[in-house]
Amino acid sequence: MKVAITSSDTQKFTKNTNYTVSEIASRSIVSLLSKSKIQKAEVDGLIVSSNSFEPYLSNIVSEMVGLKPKFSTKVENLCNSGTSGILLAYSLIRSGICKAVLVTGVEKQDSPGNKLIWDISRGIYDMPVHWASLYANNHFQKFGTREKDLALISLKNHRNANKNPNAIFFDKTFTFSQIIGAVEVAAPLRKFDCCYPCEGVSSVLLVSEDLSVKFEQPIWIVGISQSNQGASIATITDNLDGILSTRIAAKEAFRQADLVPSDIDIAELHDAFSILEIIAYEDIGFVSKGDGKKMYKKHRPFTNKRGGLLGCGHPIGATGIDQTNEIVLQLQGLAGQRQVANANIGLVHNMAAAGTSTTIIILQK
Amino acid sequence: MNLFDSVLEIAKGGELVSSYCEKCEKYVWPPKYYCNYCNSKVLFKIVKREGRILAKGYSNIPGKKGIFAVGEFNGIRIIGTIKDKMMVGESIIMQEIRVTNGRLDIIFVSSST
Ligand SMILES: [Zn+2]
Repeated sequence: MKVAITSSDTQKFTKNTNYTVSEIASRSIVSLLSKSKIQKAEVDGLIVSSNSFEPYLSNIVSEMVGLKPKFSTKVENLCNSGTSGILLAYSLIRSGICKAVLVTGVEKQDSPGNKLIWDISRGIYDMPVHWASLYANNHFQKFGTREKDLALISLKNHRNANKNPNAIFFDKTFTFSQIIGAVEVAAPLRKFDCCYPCEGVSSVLLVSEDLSVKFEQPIWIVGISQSNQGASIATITDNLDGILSTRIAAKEAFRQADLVPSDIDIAELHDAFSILEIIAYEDIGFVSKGDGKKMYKKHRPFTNKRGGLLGCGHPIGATGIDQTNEIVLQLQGLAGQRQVANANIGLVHNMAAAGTSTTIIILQK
Repeated sequence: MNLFDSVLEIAKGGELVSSYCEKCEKYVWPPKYYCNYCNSKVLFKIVKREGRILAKGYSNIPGKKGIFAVGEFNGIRIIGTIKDKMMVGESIIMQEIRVTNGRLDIIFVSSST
Protein backbone atom coordinates (compact mmCIF):
# COMPACT_ATOMS: atom_id res chain seq x y z
CA MET A 1 0.00 0.00 0.00
CA LYS A 2 1.69 3.21 -1.19
CA VAL A 3 1.10 6.49 0.65
CA ALA A 4 0.74 9.87 -1.04
CA ILE A 5 0.58 13.46 0.09
CA THR A 6 -2.11 15.19 -1.92
CA SER A 7 -2.92 18.48 -0.24
CA SER A 8 -1.20 21.02 1.94
CA ASP A 9 -1.71 24.33 3.65
CA THR A 10 0.45 26.83 5.51
CA GLN A 11 -0.70 30.05 7.13
CA LYS A 12 1.58 33.06 7.49
CA PHE A 13 4.13 32.69 10.30
CA THR A 14 3.84 35.51 12.85
CA LYS A 15 4.95 36.77 16.23
CA ASN A 16 2.74 35.77 19.16
CA THR A 17 -0.98 36.47 18.75
CA ASN A 18 -3.89 36.06 21.17
CA TYR A 19 -5.15 32.94 19.36
CA THR A 20 -4.91 29.57 21.14
CA VAL A 21 -3.11 26.60 19.55
CA SER A 22 -6.43 24.92 18.71
CA GLU A 23 -7.74 28.11 17.06
CA ILE A 24 -4.56 28.44 15.00
CA ALA A 25 -4.70 24.75 14.01
CA SER A 26 -8.36 25.03 12.95
CA ARG A 27 -7.57 27.88 10.56
CA SER A 28 -5.13 25.76 8.58
CA ILE A 29 -7.27 22.61 8.59
CA VAL A 30 -10.35 24.46 7.31
CA SER A 31 -8.21 26.12 4.65
CA LEU A 32 -6.81 22.74 3.53
CA LEU A 33 -10.25 21.09 3.48
CA SER A 34 -11.68 23.92 1.38
CA LYS A 35 -8.89 23.56 -1.21
CA SER A 36 -8.86 19.75 -1.31
CA LYS A 37 -11.15 17.16 -2.88
CA ILE A 38 -11.20 15.22 0.40
CA GLN A 39 -14.56 15.03 2.18
CA LYS A 40 -14.66 15.52 5.95
CA ALA A 41 -16.20 12.08 6.43
CA GLU A 42 -13.23 10.54 4.61
CA VAL A 43 -10.65 11.95 7.05
CA ASP A 44 -10.19 9.05 9.46
CA GLY A 45 -7.02 10.26 11.19
CA LEU A 46 -5.96 13.58 12.75
CA ILE A 47 -2.52 14.12 14.20
CA VAL A 48 -1.58 17.43 15.79
CA SER A 49 2.14 18.08 16.06
CA SER A 50 2.94 20.57 18.80
CA ASN A 51 5.04 21.26 21.89
CA SER A 52 2.00 22.86 23.52
CA PHE A 53 1.04 21.56 26.98
CA GLU A 54 -2.69 21.82 26.11
CA PRO A 55 -4.20 18.43 27.12
CA TYR A 56 -6.42 16.55 24.65
CA LEU A 57 -5.35 18.97 21.94
CA SER A 58 -6.06 16.80 18.91
CA ASN A 59 -9.60 16.03 20.05
CA ILE A 60 -10.26 19.70 20.78
CA VAL A 61 -9.07 20.48 17.27
CA SER A 62 -11.20 17.63 15.84
CA GLU A 63 -14.28 19.09 17.50
CA MET A 64 -13.47 22.65 16.40
CA VAL A 65 -13.27 21.66 12.73
CA GLY A 66 -16.04 19.04 12.84
CA LEU A 67 -14.01 15.87 12.32
CA LYS A 68 -14.73 12.51 13.95
CA PRO A 69 -11.64 10.51 13.03
CA LYS A 70 -10.99 6.88 13.85
CA PHE A 71 -7.63 7.84 15.34
CA SER A 72 -6.44 11.14 16.79
CA THR A 73 -3.52 12.18 18.95
CA LYS A 74 -0.94 14.86 19.61
CA VAL A 75 2.68 14.18 18.70
CA GLU A 76 5.50 15.99 20.50
CA ASN A 77 9.11 15.39 19.58
CA LEU A 78 10.61 18.87 20.06
CA CYS A 79 11.75 20.40 16.72
CA ASN A 80 11.34 16.98 15.10
CA SER A 81 7.60 16.86 15.93
CA GLY A 82 6.24 17.64 12.47
CA THR A 83 7.87 14.83 10.56
CA SER A 84 7.26 12.48 13.52
CA GLY A 85 3.56 13.20 12.95
CA ILE A 86 3.97 12.46 9.24
CA LEU A 87 5.79 9.19 10.00
CA LEU A 88 2.92 8.16 12.30
CA ALA A 89 0.31 9.10 9.68
CA TYR A 90 2.25 7.13 7.06
CA SER A 91 2.33 4.09 9.36
CA LEU A 92 -1.42 4.30 10.03
CA ILE A 93 -2.11 4.21 6.30
CA ARG A 94 0.48 1.54 5.51
CA SER A 95 -1.03 -0.68 8.21
CA GLY A 96 -4.52 -0.26 6.80
CA ILE A 97 -5.88 1.33 9.98
CA CYS A 98 -6.58 4.66 8.23
CA LYS A 99 -6.99 5.86 4.66
CA ALA A 100 -6.77 9.64 4.99
CA VAL A 101 -4.79 11.28 7.78
CA LEU A 102 -4.46 15.01 8.34
CA VAL A 103 -1.29 16.15 10.10
CA THR A 104 -1.32 19.67 11.47
CA GLY A 105 1.73 21.24 13.07
CA VAL A 106 1.05 24.22 15.29
CA GLU A 107 3.11 26.29 17.72
CA LYS A 108 2.97 29.48 19.77
CA GLN A 109 6.03 31.73 19.82
CA ASP A 110 6.56 31.19 23.55
CA SER A 111 6.45 27.41 23.18
CA PRO A 112 7.83 25.24 26.01
CA GLY A 113 9.77 23.46 23.24
CA ASN A 114 12.18 26.37 22.76
CA LYS A 115 14.61 24.92 25.30
CA LEU A 116 15.33 21.41 26.60
CA ILE A 117 15.35 21.99 30.37
CA TRP A 118 15.89 18.28 31.12
CA ASP A 119 19.49 18.11 29.90
CA ILE A 120 21.54 18.59 33.07
CA SER A 121 24.80 18.01 31.16
CA ARG A 122 24.50 21.37 29.37
CA GLY A 123 25.30 23.21 32.60
CA ILE A 124 24.58 26.94 32.38
CA TYR A 125 25.07 26.88 28.57
CA ASP A 126 21.63 25.46 28.00
CA MET A 127 20.34 27.33 24.94
CA PRO A 128 20.19 25.64 21.50
CA VAL A 129 22.71 28.17 20.15
CA HIS A 130 25.29 26.83 22.60
CA TRP A 131 25.41 23.34 21.12
CA ALA A 132 25.32 24.93 17.66
CA SER A 133 28.43 26.92 18.63
CA LEU A 134 30.18 23.65 19.57
CA TYR A 135 29.37 22.14 16.16
CA ALA A 136 30.50 25.31 14.36
CA ASN A 137 33.82 25.66 16.20
CA ASN A 138 34.59 22.01 15.57
CA HIS A 139 33.78 22.36 11.86
CA PHE A 140 35.90 25.50 11.56
CA GLN A 141 38.86 23.85 13.25
CA LYS A 142 38.70 20.47 11.50
CA PHE A 143 37.42 21.31 8.04
CA GLY A 144 38.37 24.96 7.52
CA THR A 145 34.80 26.25 7.31
CA ARG A 146 34.70 30.03 7.78
CA GLU A 147 32.26 32.75 8.81
CA LYS A 148 31.84 33.64 5.14
CA ASP A 149 30.50 30.13 4.47
CA LEU A 150 27.90 30.53 7.22
CA ALA A 151 26.89 33.98 5.98
CA LEU A 152 26.35 32.63 2.45
CA ILE A 153 23.89 30.04 3.79
CA SER A 154 22.01 32.69 5.75
CA LEU A 155 21.97 35.06 2.77
CA LYS A 156 20.64 32.35 0.41
CA ASN A 157 17.87 31.30 2.78
CA HIS A 158 16.81 34.85 3.63
CA ARG A 159 16.68 35.67 -0.11
CA ASN A 160 14.59 32.56 -0.74
CA ALA A 161 12.22 33.70 2.02
CA ASN A 162 11.65 36.92 0.08
CA LYS A 163 9.68 34.76 -2.38
CA ASN A 164 7.62 33.02 0.32
CA PRO A 165 4.72 35.15 1.59
CA ASN A 166 4.27 32.82 4.62
CA ALA A 167 7.84 33.43 5.82
CA ILE A 168 8.28 35.75 8.78
CA PHE A 169 11.13 37.51 6.91
CA PHE A 170 9.20 37.67 3.59
CA ASP A 171 9.48 41.44 3.33
CA LYS A 172 12.86 41.88 5.08
CA THR A 173 15.98 42.03 2.95
CA PHE A 174 19.51 41.57 4.26
CA THR A 175 22.86 42.13 2.60
CA PHE A 176 25.93 39.92 2.96
CA SER A 177 27.67 42.60 5.02
CA GLN A 178 24.66 42.97 7.34
CA ILE A 179 24.70 39.23 7.96
CA ILE A 180 28.44 38.83 8.47
CA GLY A 181 28.59 42.03 10.54
CA ALA A 182 25.60 41.22 12.78
CA VAL A 183 25.94 40.93 16.53
CA GLU A 184 27.68 37.78 17.77
CA VAL A 185 25.39 35.44 19.70
CA ALA A 186 27.63 32.42 20.27
CA ALA A 187 30.77 32.66 18.16
CA PRO A 188 31.11 32.05 15.31
CA LEU A 189 27.32 32.27 15.10
CA ARG A 190 25.84 35.71 14.64
CA LYS A 191 22.26 36.95 14.79
CA PHE A 192 21.24 35.85 11.28
CA ASP A 193 22.92 32.46 11.64
CA CYS A 194 20.17 31.65 14.17
CA CYS A 195 16.52 30.92 13.44
CA TYR A 196 13.75 32.96 15.02
CA PRO A 197 11.16 31.05 17.09
CA CYS A 198 7.68 32.16 15.98
CA GLU A 199 4.01 31.27 15.83
CA GLY A 200 2.81 29.20 12.92
CA VAL A 201 0.67 26.42 11.51
CA SER A 202 1.01 24.07 8.58
CA SER A 203 -0.98 21.01 7.47
CA VAL A 204 -0.66 18.06 5.11
CA LEU A 205 -3.05 15.35 4.00
CA LEU A 206 -1.73 11.81 3.56
CA VAL A 207 -3.90 9.29 1.72
CA SER A 208 -3.81 5.63 0.73
CA GLU A 209 -3.09 4.54 -2.84
CA ASP A 210 -6.74 3.66 -3.57
CA LEU A 211 -7.99 7.02 -2.31
CA SER A 212 -5.25 8.90 -4.20
CA VAL A 213 -6.95 8.39 -7.59
CA LYS A 214 -9.37 11.24 -6.91
CA PHE A 215 -6.50 13.73 -6.55
CA GLU A 216 -4.72 15.32 -9.49
CA GLN A 217 -1.12 15.32 -8.32
CA PRO A 218 -0.40 12.80 -5.58
CA ILE A 219 3.19 13.02 -4.36
CA TRP A 220 4.48 9.67 -3.12
CA ILE A 221 6.42 9.03 0.06
CA VAL A 222 9.10 6.66 -1.25
CA GLY A 223 11.39 6.75 1.78
CA ILE A 224 10.77 7.74 5.41
CA SER A 225 13.00 7.04 8.37
CA GLN A 226 13.89 8.36 11.79
CA SER A 227 16.82 7.85 14.15
CA ASN A 228 16.86 8.68 17.86
CA GLN A 229 20.18 8.75 19.71
CA GLY A 230 19.06 9.99 23.13
CA ALA A 231 18.33 13.45 24.48
CA SER A 232 21.40 14.87 26.13
CA ILE A 233 24.39 16.70 24.71
CA ALA A 234 26.46 14.08 26.57
CA THR A 235 25.32 11.32 24.22
CA ILE A 236 26.44 13.00 20.99
CA THR A 237 29.54 15.00 21.90
CA ASP A 238 32.01 12.16 21.43
CA ASN A 239 32.00 13.24 17.77
CA LEU A 240 30.80 16.65 16.58
CA ASP A 241 32.04 16.19 13.00
CA GLY A 242 28.57 15.18 11.95
CA ILE A 243 25.13 14.23 13.17
CA LEU A 244 24.76 10.47 13.56
CA SER A 245 20.95 10.47 13.63
CA THR A 246 20.92 12.24 10.25
CA ARG A 247 23.37 9.78 8.72
CA ILE A 248 21.37 6.77 9.93
CA ALA A 249 17.95 8.15 8.93
CA ALA A 250 19.18 9.29 5.50
CA LYS A 251 20.84 5.96 4.73
CA GLU A 252 17.66 4.06 5.56
CA ALA A 253 15.38 6.45 3.63
CA PHE A 254 17.59 6.19 0.52
CA ARG A 255 17.58 2.39 0.87
CA GLN A 256 13.77 2.31 1.02
CA ALA A 257 13.51 4.60 -1.99
CA ASP A 258 16.26 2.77 -3.91
CA LEU A 259 17.78 6.18 -4.63
CA VAL A 260 21.09 7.92 -3.95
CA PRO A 261 21.77 11.52 -2.85
CA SER A 262 22.58 12.64 -6.42
CA ASP A 263 18.99 11.72 -7.42
CA ILE A 264 17.58 14.50 -5.22
CA ASP A 265 16.43 17.60 -7.14
CA ILE A 266 15.37 19.71 -4.17
CA ALA A 267 15.82 19.49 -0.40
CA GLU A 268 14.45 21.23 2.68
CA LEU A 269 17.13 21.13 5.38
CA HIS A 270 16.85 21.84 9.09
CA ASP A 271 18.88 25.08 9.23
CA ALA A 272 17.97 26.06 12.80
CA PHE A 273 21.52 27.43 12.66
CA SER A 274 23.47 28.06 9.44
CA ILE A 275 26.19 25.56 10.40
CA LEU A 276 23.57 22.80 10.56
CA GLU A 277 22.76 23.19 6.88
CA ILE A 278 26.45 22.71 6.02
CA ILE A 279 26.63 19.60 8.24
CA ALA A 280 23.35 18.27 6.77
CA TYR A 281 24.77 18.49 3.22
CA GLU A 282 27.57 16.20 4.36
CA ASP A 283 25.58 13.75 6.48
CA ILE A 284 22.82 13.27 3.89
CA GLY A 285 25.57 12.63 1.34
CA PHE A 286 25.26 15.51 -1.13
CA VAL A 287 29.00 16.18 -0.56
CA SER A 288 31.83 14.45 1.31
CA LYS A 289 32.48 15.11 5.00
CA GLY A 290 34.09 18.54 5.39
CA ASP A 291 32.97 19.79 1.97
CA GLY A 292 29.63 21.31 3.02
CA LYS A 293 30.97 24.79 2.31
CA LYS A 294 31.42 23.84 -1.38
CA MET A 295 27.73 23.02 -1.92
CA TYR A 296 26.89 26.48 -3.24
CA LYS A 297 28.95 25.70 -6.33
CA LYS A 298 26.67 22.78 -7.22
CA HIS A 299 23.56 23.26 -9.37
CA ARG A 300 21.59 20.50 -7.66
CA PRO A 301 19.89 19.92 -5.36
CA PHE A 302 18.13 23.21 -4.78
CA THR A 303 18.14 23.84 -1.04
CA ASN A 304 15.70 25.54 1.30
CA LYS A 305 13.74 27.31 -1.45
CA ARG A 306 11.03 27.89 1.18
CA GLY A 307 13.52 30.09 3.04
CA GLY A 308 14.56 27.48 5.58
CA LEU A 309 14.10 27.96 9.29
CA LEU A 310 16.42 30.98 9.01
CA GLY A 311 14.15 32.82 6.60
CA CYS A 312 10.72 31.44 7.53
CA GLY A 313 11.03 31.47 11.31
CA HIS A 314 10.71 28.30 13.40
CA PRO A 315 7.26 27.45 14.79
CA ILE A 316 8.64 24.25 16.29
CA GLY A 317 5.83 21.73 15.79
CA ALA A 318 4.90 23.23 12.40
CA THR A 319 8.38 23.37 10.86
CA GLY A 320 8.65 19.75 9.67
CA ILE A 321 5.16 19.99 8.13
CA ASP A 322 5.94 23.20 6.25
CA GLN A 323 9.26 21.76 5.03
CA THR A 324 7.31 18.78 3.66
CA ASN A 325 4.67 21.08 2.12
CA GLU A 326 7.36 22.97 0.25
CA ILE A 327 8.68 19.78 -1.37
CA VAL A 328 5.11 18.69 -2.20
CA LEU A 329 4.33 22.07 -3.84
CA GLN A 330 7.62 22.03 -5.76
CA LEU A 331 6.99 18.51 -7.09
CA GLN A 332 3.40 19.46 -7.96
CA GLY A 333 4.66 22.54 -9.81
CA LEU A 334 2.63 24.79 -7.52
CA ALA A 335 5.41 26.66 -5.73
CA GLY A 336 4.70 29.96 -7.46
CA GLN A 337 7.64 32.31 -7.79
CA ARG A 338 9.82 29.83 -5.86
CA GLN A 339 9.18 27.05 -8.38
CA VAL A 340 12.31 25.26 -9.61
CA ALA A 341 12.51 23.54 -13.01
CA ASN A 342 12.35 19.75 -13.47
CA ALA A 343 11.81 18.77 -9.83
CA ASN A 344 10.88 15.09 -9.62
CA ILE A 345 12.41 13.92 -6.35
CA GLY A 346 12.68 15.88 -3.10
CA LEU A 347 13.99 15.34 0.41
CA VAL A 348 13.00 16.66 3.85
CA HIS A 349 15.48 16.80 6.74
CA ASN A 350 13.99 17.63 10.15
CA MET A 351 15.78 17.23 13.47
CA ALA A 352 15.79 18.08 17.17
CA ALA A 353 17.88 18.82 20.25
CA ALA A 354 21.51 19.06 19.14
CA GLY A 355 20.86 16.49 16.45
CA THR A 356 19.94 13.73 18.89
CA SER A 357 17.05 12.83 16.54
CA THR A 358 16.43 13.23 12.81
CA THR A 359 13.68 12.34 10.36
CA ILE A 360 14.32 12.05 6.60
CA ILE A 361 11.47 11.87 4.08
CA ILE A 362 11.99 11.27 0.35
CA LEU A 363 9.13 12.29 -1.94
CA GLN A 364 8.61 11.52 -5.60
CA LYS A 365 6.20 12.70 -8.28
CA MET B 1 14.07 13.97 45.70
CA ASN B 2 14.56 13.11 42.02
CA LEU B 3 17.91 12.16 40.50
CA PHE B 4 18.75 15.55 39.02
CA ASP B 5 17.81 17.39 42.21
CA SER B 6 20.09 15.04 44.14
CA VAL B 7 22.98 15.77 41.77
CA LEU B 8 22.39 19.51 42.14
CA GLU B 9 22.13 19.26 45.93
CA ILE B 10 25.48 17.47 46.09
CA ALA B 11 26.99 19.93 43.59
CA LYS B 12 26.09 22.77 45.99
CA GLY B 13 28.61 21.12 48.32
CA GLY B 14 31.27 21.23 45.59
CA GLU B 15 31.24 17.65 44.29
CA LEU B 16 29.96 16.20 41.02
CA VAL B 17 28.31 12.81 41.28
CA SER B 18 26.95 10.55 38.57
CA SER B 19 25.29 7.15 38.50
CA TYR B 20 27.87 4.35 38.44
CA CYS B 21 27.46 0.68 37.59
CA GLU B 22 29.63 -1.54 39.83
CA LYS B 23 29.15 -4.49 37.50
CA CYS B 24 30.19 -2.70 34.28
CA GLU B 25 32.59 -0.38 36.12
CA LYS B 26 31.16 2.50 34.11
CA TYR B 27 29.62 5.86 34.86
CA VAL B 28 26.08 6.31 33.55
CA TRP B 29 25.39 9.93 32.64
CA PRO B 30 23.10 11.90 32.65
CA PRO B 31 22.19 10.22 35.97
CA LYS B 32 19.82 7.26 35.82
CA TYR B 33 18.45 4.58 38.15
CA TYR B 34 19.53 1.71 35.91
CA CYS B 35 22.69 0.96 33.95
CA ASN B 36 22.35 1.64 30.22
CA TYR B 37 24.52 -1.39 29.47
CA CYS B 38 23.37 -4.17 31.84
CA ASN B 39 20.16 -2.79 33.46
CA SER B 40 21.59 -3.24 36.98
CA LYS B 41 20.60 -0.74 39.65
CA VAL B 42 23.24 1.97 39.83
CA LEU B 43 24.48 4.14 42.68
CA PHE B 44 25.93 7.62 42.88
CA LYS B 45 29.70 7.91 42.77
CA ILE B 46 31.89 11.00 42.83
CA VAL B 47 33.27 11.85 39.39
CA LYS B 48 37.06 12.24 39.31
CA ARG B 49 38.07 15.80 38.51
CA GLU B 50 40.70 15.02 35.88
CA GLY B 51 39.57 15.05 32.25
CA ARG B 52 40.10 16.61 28.85
CA ILE B 53 38.44 19.06 26.50
CA LEU B 54 36.43 17.52 23.65
CA ALA B 55 34.98 20.69 22.10
CA LYS B 56 34.87 24.43 22.64
CA GLY B 57 32.16 27.08 22.24
CA TYR B 58 31.52 30.75 22.93
CA SER B 59 28.51 32.47 24.45
CA ASN B 60 27.63 36.12 24.23
CA ILE B 61 24.17 35.64 25.72
CA PRO B 62 23.44 38.01 28.60
CA GLY B 63 23.68 36.17 31.90
CA LYS B 64 25.47 33.25 30.20
CA LYS B 65 28.55 34.95 28.76
CA GLY B 66 31.73 32.97 28.57
CA ILE B 67 33.92 30.48 26.82
CA PHE B 68 32.73 26.97 27.45
CA ALA B 69 33.79 23.44 26.65
CA VAL B 70 32.55 19.91 26.64
CA GLY B 71 34.77 18.19 29.17
CA GLU B 72 35.08 14.40 29.39
CA PHE B 73 35.69 12.90 32.83
CA ASN B 74 35.83 9.09 33.20
CA GLY B 75 33.60 8.79 30.14
CA ILE B 76 30.99 11.34 31.26
CA ARG B 77 30.62 14.48 29.18
CA ILE B 78 29.51 17.78 30.62
CA ILE B 79 29.70 21.45 29.68
CA GLY B 80 31.64 23.89 31.86
CA THR B 81 33.27 27.31 31.68
CA ILE B 82 36.94 27.53 30.61
CA LYS B 83 39.74 30.06 30.35
CA ASP B 84 40.52 31.36 26.84
CA LYS B 85 43.90 29.84 26.08
CA MET B 86 42.80 26.25 26.55
CA MET B 87 42.63 24.02 23.47
CA VAL B 88 40.60 21.01 22.38
CA GLY B 89 42.37 17.87 23.58
CA GLU B 90 44.01 19.64 26.53
CA SER B 91 43.96 18.01 29.96
CA ILE B 92 41.73 19.82 32.46
CA ILE B 93 40.48 19.60 35.99
CA MET B 94 37.14 20.63 37.45
CA GLN B 95 38.35 23.45 39.67
CA GLU B 96 34.98 24.49 41.01
CA ILE B 97 31.58 22.79 41.07
CA ARG B 98 28.57 24.86 42.01
CA VAL B 99 24.94 25.54 41.10
CA THR B 100 23.79 28.79 39.48
CA ASN B 101 20.10 29.46 38.77
CA GLY B 102 19.36 25.78 39.21
CA ARG B 103 21.96 24.66 36.67
CA LEU B 104 25.29 22.90 37.17
CA ASP B 105 27.98 25.57 36.90
CA ILE B 106 31.44 24.01 36.62
CA ILE B 107 34.76 25.78 36.09
CA PHE B 108 37.41 23.93 34.06
CA VAL B 109 41.09 24.90 34.34
CA SER B 110 44.18 23.55 32.65
CA SER B 111 45.72 20.72 34.65
CA SER B 112 49.18 22.20 34.01
CA THR B 113 48.45 25.38 36.02
ZN1 LIG C 1 26.08 -2.11 34.07
